Amino acid sequence: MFYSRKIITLIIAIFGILNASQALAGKTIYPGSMCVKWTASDPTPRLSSSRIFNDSTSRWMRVDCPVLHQHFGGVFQNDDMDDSDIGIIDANTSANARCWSVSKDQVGSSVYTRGSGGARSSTGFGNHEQNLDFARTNHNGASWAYIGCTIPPRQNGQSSGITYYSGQE
Amino acid sequence: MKLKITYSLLFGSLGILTIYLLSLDSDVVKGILSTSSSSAINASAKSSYSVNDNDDIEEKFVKIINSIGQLQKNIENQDKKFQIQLARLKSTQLGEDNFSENNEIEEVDENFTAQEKEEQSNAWYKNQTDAIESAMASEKIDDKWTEDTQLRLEAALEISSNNLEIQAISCGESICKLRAEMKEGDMGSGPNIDHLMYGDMEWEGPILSKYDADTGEVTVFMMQAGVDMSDFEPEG
Repeated sequence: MFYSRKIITLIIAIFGILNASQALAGKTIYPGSMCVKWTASDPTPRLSSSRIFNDSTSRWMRVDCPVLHQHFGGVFQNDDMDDSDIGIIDANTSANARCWSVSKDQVGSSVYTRGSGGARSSTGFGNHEQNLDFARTNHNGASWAYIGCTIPPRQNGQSSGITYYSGQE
Repeated sequence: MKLKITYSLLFGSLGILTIYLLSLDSDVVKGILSTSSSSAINASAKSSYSVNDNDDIEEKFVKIINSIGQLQKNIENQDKKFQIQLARLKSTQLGEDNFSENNEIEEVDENFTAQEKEEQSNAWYKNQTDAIESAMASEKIDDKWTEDTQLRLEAALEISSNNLEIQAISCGESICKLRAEMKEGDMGSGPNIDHLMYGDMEWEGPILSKYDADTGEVTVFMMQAGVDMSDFEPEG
């Protein structure tokens, strides 16, 4: 019995090690507070439970939200981000939030947009969360990724914002 | 006396049975066979099982872990060699065999050099843009879409901080190609193509772009929403 238990433990351990890389490649969810505004003159996001909101009544909040990219292969081996999405609260009745997913890298003096999951816009308005889902984003071992967003101004006492975003390899 | 003999026979039989069962799975029996009395057999079997066999399993476990680690390293090294060979073949095909004698495959280091990275990046980008250009060449030029795209881009440039000058733009049925020039500014203040295309121009589909800070040249391939960029992705 004791012997069998050790063998089972050993088998589980081996499978655990073999599958470790797959576990590392799962979906990662980030709070909206990880997003960074484009320039100093852009509205500073207001934090609420690590969500971010645009309290400006006249200016759009423009942010980049970094997506961590775990690299498992060679430098220029394709290592795509299979899926990414973002949670948006669009409280503006006349304008929609807009987000896009891209991967970038720089080699020498050249900056590349390596891949892109396209752009998505929110629809309608309200205080509910909307999920914008992006297509697969091409990656290689040298690239980094982010989701860019433009969030409309506060309107009728209601702010629009970002709750979370995610990336899955 | 009779009772002692009965107990000895009983424990002796149990001991032999235990040894037989353990011998089916391990070498533990080796340590046991050196003892003679039935009580000693029982004690030895128990001791050998808990100490020697544990050591044996641990040793095998460590060997397996080491083998897995070595296997992973071998796979990674083979992958790197393959990538180098692939890039070299592609460069040779393009008549750009810039690999020096120092770049022998056997000397591939854990980290790629800046030159190797640049060579591979150029090959990667060229392969991908060649595939896109080839797809574009098979499409008919859409003058209306070209004009609309140019108007959208000009409107976006008016509201953005990008100091770009459009050199040429043309659209097929699903892909547009833009060539532009950055008029002034360094890398930090250079054009942010993603912000321009997605934030200001509100482009929907995927894009592939390159900005060279030395020359100021900007090239952007803009695809219609729904086009899968992985169709143009080099095999990797």
